Amino acid sequence: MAEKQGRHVELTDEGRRYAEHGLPEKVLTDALKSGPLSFDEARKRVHAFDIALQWAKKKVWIEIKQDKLFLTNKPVETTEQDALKAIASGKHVDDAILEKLVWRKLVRIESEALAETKKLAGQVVADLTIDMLKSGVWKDVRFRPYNVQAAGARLNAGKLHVLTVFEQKVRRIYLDLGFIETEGPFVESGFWNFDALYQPQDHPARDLADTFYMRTPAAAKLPEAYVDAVRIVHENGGRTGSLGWRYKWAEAIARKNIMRTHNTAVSARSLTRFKPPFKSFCIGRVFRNETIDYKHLPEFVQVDGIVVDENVCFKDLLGYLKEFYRRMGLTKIRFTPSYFPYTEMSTQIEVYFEDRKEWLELGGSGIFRPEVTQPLGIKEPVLAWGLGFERPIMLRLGMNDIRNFYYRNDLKMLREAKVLQ
Amino acid sequence: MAVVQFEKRALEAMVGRRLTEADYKERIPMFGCPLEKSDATSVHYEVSPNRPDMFSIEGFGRAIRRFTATGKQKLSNYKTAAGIITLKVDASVQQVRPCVTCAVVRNVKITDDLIASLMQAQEKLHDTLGRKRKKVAIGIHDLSKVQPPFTYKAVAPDAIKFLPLDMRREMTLREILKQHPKGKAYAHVIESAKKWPVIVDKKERVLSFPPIINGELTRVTNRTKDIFIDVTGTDERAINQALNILATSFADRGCKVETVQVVAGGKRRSTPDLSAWKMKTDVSYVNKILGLKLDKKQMAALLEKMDVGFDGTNAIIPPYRTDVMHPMDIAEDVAIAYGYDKFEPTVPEVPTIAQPLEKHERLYAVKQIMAGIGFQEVVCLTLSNVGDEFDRMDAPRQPVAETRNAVTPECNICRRDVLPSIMDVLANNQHYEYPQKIFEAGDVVVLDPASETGARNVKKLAAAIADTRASYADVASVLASFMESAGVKYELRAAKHPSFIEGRMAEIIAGGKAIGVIGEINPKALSNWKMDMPVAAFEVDLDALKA
Repeated sequence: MAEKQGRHVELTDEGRRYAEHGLPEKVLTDALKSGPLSFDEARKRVHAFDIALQWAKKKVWIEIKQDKLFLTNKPVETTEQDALKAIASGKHVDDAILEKLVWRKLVRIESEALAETKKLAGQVVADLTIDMLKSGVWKDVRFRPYNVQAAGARLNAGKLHVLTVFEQKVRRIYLDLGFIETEGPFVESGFWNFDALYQPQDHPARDLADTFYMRTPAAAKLPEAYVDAVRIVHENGGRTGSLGWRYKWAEAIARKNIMRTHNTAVSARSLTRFKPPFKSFCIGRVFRNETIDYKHLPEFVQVDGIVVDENVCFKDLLGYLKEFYRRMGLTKIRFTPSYFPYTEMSTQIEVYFEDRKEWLELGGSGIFRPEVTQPLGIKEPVLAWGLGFERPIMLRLGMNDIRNFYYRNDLKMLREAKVLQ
Repeated sequence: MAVVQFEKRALEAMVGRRLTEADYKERIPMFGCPLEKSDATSVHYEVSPNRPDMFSIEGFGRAIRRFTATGKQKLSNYKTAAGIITLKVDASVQQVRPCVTCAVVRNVKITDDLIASLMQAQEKLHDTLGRKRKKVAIGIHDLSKVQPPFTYKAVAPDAIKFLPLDMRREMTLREILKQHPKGKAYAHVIESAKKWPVIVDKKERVLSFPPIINGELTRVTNRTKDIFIDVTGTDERAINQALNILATSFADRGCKVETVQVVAGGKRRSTPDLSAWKMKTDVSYVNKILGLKLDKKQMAALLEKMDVGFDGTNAIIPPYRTDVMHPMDIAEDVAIAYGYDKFEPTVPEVPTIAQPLEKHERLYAVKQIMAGIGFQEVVCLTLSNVGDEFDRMDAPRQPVAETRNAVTPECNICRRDVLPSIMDVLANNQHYEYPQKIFEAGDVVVLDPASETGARNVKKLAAAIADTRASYADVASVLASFMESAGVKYELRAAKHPSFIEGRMAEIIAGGKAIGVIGEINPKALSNWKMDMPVAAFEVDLDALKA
């Protein structure tokens, strides 16, 4: 039956029965008009007696005295029964009464669409709809087959940057190996970036050409506890057994602020923070005063690690690096001699990339010189490394321009980037 | 890193045997010299700054000859003949370039190879050990053209005139600094001094105007037999190292090195001193740090490959080595001779407990929340410029951490907010599909006089929606979802900010403090970024979220 507002009002099976034979409670009161009845007698004469009893009592049409049913004085009205009949003959009824009937499950209100849906029985349909499910008509329809071999259209989903995904993998590896995660300031003093790492004050790495010097804030406070020890080791080697660099060390130069050029500065700070034995790592930005091109950005990421323990040696340095790259999925690795002012047995780490059939340089490592460790209060050998971060990702993604990271943030590339390792 | 270039033919002549492709590509890099480039006739290698002795083909050849040799080898033993040539050092050089050392080399057979090697070694020594001639500068002269004794002195810029190399006329020192290409290039080393250094002979003829240029008079030609070397500078040790490297290179070619008497302040020195020197080195120390079990003999045999002697107690270091200052340096020589590829990598048990940085854990969680809300993460440079940071945002300039020597002007300050980076990304990606919903969570730098360096890192989050109808309501519901997941109670307080449309901007208040901003970007700012798409955005201080 079509109703207003696209509704379709319909009697349920129970409702249809009552529309025909009368509401049970009405049938009961009709039976009692000729006098009170016992339960048994009433049950015989009224079809749905339990329902009739329940509703008649609720409506206070009857009362029970000495196991007999009596009519009360309250007039018996027939609104609900009339409404059922009206619905059955397609007439409109009040919402208030409709609501009651729905509640008694005598009437069902369906949307027009649902009613229409039912007419689909036996047909071939395009979409499975909620109405089909509600009406159960899905049992009687067939679904038009799709071209399931067509690829779906892509979505611009929420997504982490490929660098973040990779960073988490690297973090996980170091944490699994028992390392402490550390960080340090981007604006760093020359002291921690260079002097504490035994880089002489006229070292080319300190040149304006490679290092960003700060105008603001121009100078740092120096850590009083270490200044003298560092000065002495530069000037004459102090008690390390070294000859030192043999020049006059200047506090003013150490005080100059720079943008940190490597995370080894963070490793140096760590030597003063933790008690051996310990292992720590740092993943973070480093800064080089370079012009921007496809190979160079003034800012990129390095991964530094140190292992401090009295029994570690050169073989262990190679072992840790090999293990790290193995966990990164790079199993072919080799070490060649290299040079850094702050390490001995300085090594360059090269990894073989199968798809490129090439050895590529990925980082530097070594054992910190005593001139680095002794002034910072460390007697144990310190294995140390600093590894490139972006290059393995670029190789894996087949990228050859580092500007796509940080600088360009090409949305198409980021949206489409593969992030599953 | 300096890159040296050698003719293969000439290098093999110095090594004393043919080198195979495997030697060039695999073996020599294992000495610590990565192969840069190789073709049919020449090779390019990187040489580390701690081995300036390998800038010359003689030094490089010597190292590789020993490193690749199989049998026993004699250690280098350099002799000097006592010479009588004198160089007098005048006190006037104290103010400008106080240090000088010299040598004479006789029986030199000048060939194109030798000239090429000398020029290369001299140039690389100037750049590295010499710190671009500031610390060390070398002059090489045909001894026969001048008459000792020589004098090293400082003179007034216009007091003296001579014909410098590669010029057609005599020039004063001042003219050379102004007009000669080398003068212009290196003027900064001396021009602040009142008097400038020269080396003259008995007849006041100029050999050299260090560290700028030599005189044409003493130009080395293929007829030169005897050579005079002067090395001047500011560091006694560095000039001696440079001289030793050159003198031993000549000696390795079979030339005779003769000393020069350098007389300064009444004291007389014979230079160069080519004797080896000793450093006490313990076998057990070397074994422990390398993880090896060498006996004294084995260690001596390995060091022999490096031209370093070992008598069981002391390492004996040849005069051309400039890098040895601790027994650890000897350990490294042992390791190189042993072969880095021969060490068995091991992972020891160092019992430590992992400790993630809470800040990073939180940062990652923030990123995951934002990606979950449907935003694409971007990662930008920390380095920025006031144009992007303030002007294009239509915001007043504020104090920032600022560099003073950036070669790329667009990267000369540290950003203090993430939102300008986000705008930059949107501005650069206007040719791609909209809506664009992006965020960045990362470090910015703020000035903080209380911190050790005067600046510190702060982590911030900014997110933006760029779309035809990007509105305040859209981004406010993103913020609401984010804050709900972050577990932060906040309120929005209407405020004014020049980057945002008035009446459509609020401060984000949490814990009684303003911790961020939210709003629709001002059309003025959009047009500054050359954008024709509305943008609604917010930024919050992640460190403040926690407090």
